Amino acid sequence: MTNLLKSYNTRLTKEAIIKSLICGLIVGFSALLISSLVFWIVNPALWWLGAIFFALFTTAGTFFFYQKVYRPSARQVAKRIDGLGLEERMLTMTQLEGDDSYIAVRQRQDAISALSTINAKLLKMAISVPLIVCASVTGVLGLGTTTVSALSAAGVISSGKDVIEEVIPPAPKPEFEINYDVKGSGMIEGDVFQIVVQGESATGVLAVPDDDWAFTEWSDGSTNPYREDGNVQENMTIIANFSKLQDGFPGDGDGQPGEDDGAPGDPEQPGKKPGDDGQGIKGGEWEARNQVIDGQTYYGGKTYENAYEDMLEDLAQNGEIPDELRKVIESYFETIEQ
Amino acid sequence: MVTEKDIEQFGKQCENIFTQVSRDVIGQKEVVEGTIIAMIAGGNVLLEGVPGVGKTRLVRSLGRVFDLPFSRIQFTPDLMPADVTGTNIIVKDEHGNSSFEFQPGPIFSNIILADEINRATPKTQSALLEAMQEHTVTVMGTSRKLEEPFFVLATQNPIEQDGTYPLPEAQMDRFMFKLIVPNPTLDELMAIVDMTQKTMAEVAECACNGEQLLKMRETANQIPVADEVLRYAMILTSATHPDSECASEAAKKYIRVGASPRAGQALISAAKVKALIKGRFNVAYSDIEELAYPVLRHRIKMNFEAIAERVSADDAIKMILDEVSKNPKYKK
Repeated sequence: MTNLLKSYNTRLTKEAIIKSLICGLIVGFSALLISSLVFWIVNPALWWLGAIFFALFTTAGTFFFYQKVYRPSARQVAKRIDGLGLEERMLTMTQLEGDDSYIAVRQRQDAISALSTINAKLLKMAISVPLIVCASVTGVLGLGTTTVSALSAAGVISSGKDVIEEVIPPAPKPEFEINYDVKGSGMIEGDVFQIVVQGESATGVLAVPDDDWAFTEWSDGSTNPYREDGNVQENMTIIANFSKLQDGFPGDGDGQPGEDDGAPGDPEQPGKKPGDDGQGIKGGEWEARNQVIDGQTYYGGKTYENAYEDMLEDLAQNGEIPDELRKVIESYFETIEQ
Repeated sequence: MVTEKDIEQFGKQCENIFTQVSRDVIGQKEVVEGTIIAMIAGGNVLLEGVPGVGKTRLVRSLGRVFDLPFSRIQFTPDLMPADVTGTNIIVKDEHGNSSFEFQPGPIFSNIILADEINRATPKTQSALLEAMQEHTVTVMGTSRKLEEPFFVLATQNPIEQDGTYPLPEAQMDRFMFKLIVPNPTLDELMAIVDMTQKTMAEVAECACNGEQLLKMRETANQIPVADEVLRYAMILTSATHPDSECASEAAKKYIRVGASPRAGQALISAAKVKALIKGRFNVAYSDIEELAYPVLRHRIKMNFEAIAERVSADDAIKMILDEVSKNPKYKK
């Protein structure tokens, strides 16, 4: 019987392979469509992975559909042949295979006789139009999205993420207010009032003290007069603290940190500078020589300025510098060295 | 076991039967074929047609063709069951002793023509039930087997319904086929008139006897049916039920009661005979579809909507056939 149906079986196997391939292509194109779409949105540079998915899914789909759906059985072949006008002769014949009763033999003879009257070529391939349409649609969509993804990777068109953000703008992040204020005599260079989006950074501001005043610290403890607040998560009011400077050389002059240099300059106690207690200053604390005011280093104020003028006067009158003045000058140079 | 000789005999006898019947009955090809198929398959036939279209003549001709005893019962409202089945009568022997003796009724024959069956009362109609199904007659507690082959060929008139008793579903179900006898065509009418001018008597000769008819039935029964074809026939039967799992839309809309399992049996039995008559050794879908009308039309009960929309049983069967044959779920 196998030989009898061989030519029909071959035709139907071809048909089954084509149908399976179409179904596999539908699966493959669907995978391509989905992967390309995802890559376009997430990372267009990976668009080529879609081609790999397409190949894998097409192969797996074709194999699956052939094995599970379209692989023609003997009865299916018989049914298709019967469709050529054999009135279920072949179907009955396959059912009676192995039956040697007279009626089965006669039925077989009748079926073979009827089969000889038809041509295997009459068995046309039956591929449904919806299947072809489905494959075409998924093909167009799959290749289309791949092209879009590739063009996006090349920078020709926007990525999916951008397009989505254009179409559906993200919910606006909350904004926070930042106020920079001063305590004491000084000013803040930069925007003292800023509105900053959550997580973003504020523009930099610089705390600038007036003459005879020095910046001590910001209200949050930062001692750098320049600040740029980043990753803003709340409304903030930051105050720049300035303190009045006192005349005279700060510190005890021994170059060693004092035991108790006192608090940074206190505008409430004018005339008293840190280190005036003769104990010296601690490292990292207020130090007159570290102050940069109006772009000029503070070198001790009137103490050195007066010493300079006195020295010029003494040189003009006596031709020599008194020991006391010489010490002041030495101290000046030491300060610079430090 | 069927032999080559049986198959040859079947073919020859079928040909003879058709030839002989055609000598008496002009036209009515489908009705003649349907009746012969039912007789070979062992089923009863209900012939419905207006008076004068040859129903009775067909039955009488078949009696001659099969060379079988033939009884005609003219059903009337006053016909009693005993008039059909027979009864016990008192007889005296030579010594003068009285005893009951069963006097067989007309049903004790091989071919029964139940003419205008719907004119008898339901009680009398019911007297035929047992005979039609079990081929036995029980009178006064004694069952008597009817001689095989046994057929009831009943006729009824679709018009003149006054004073008639429509056959109950149980009775209807016992008929393998309900055949509609149409009016003859013009050519057939001319041939009928021409023939009957010469003689009114049936001229058909015996084509096969009762024993040969039983052998033909046995042969036909051996015809194989592919599982798919059997399933299709059962789906078709089931689709007539408005509440079955295979219920068709037509059945849901127009049918109150669907066909019984007897319809499925009748479809297959008749299809085997039809296939063999065509010279085919297997049952085809086309056999089932062609036989669906005579097998199902009297077994389905139409609902009010069908009556209101003038949808006949044949219309409903056509809808069901279209629906079932196109449904991928029941794909052939």
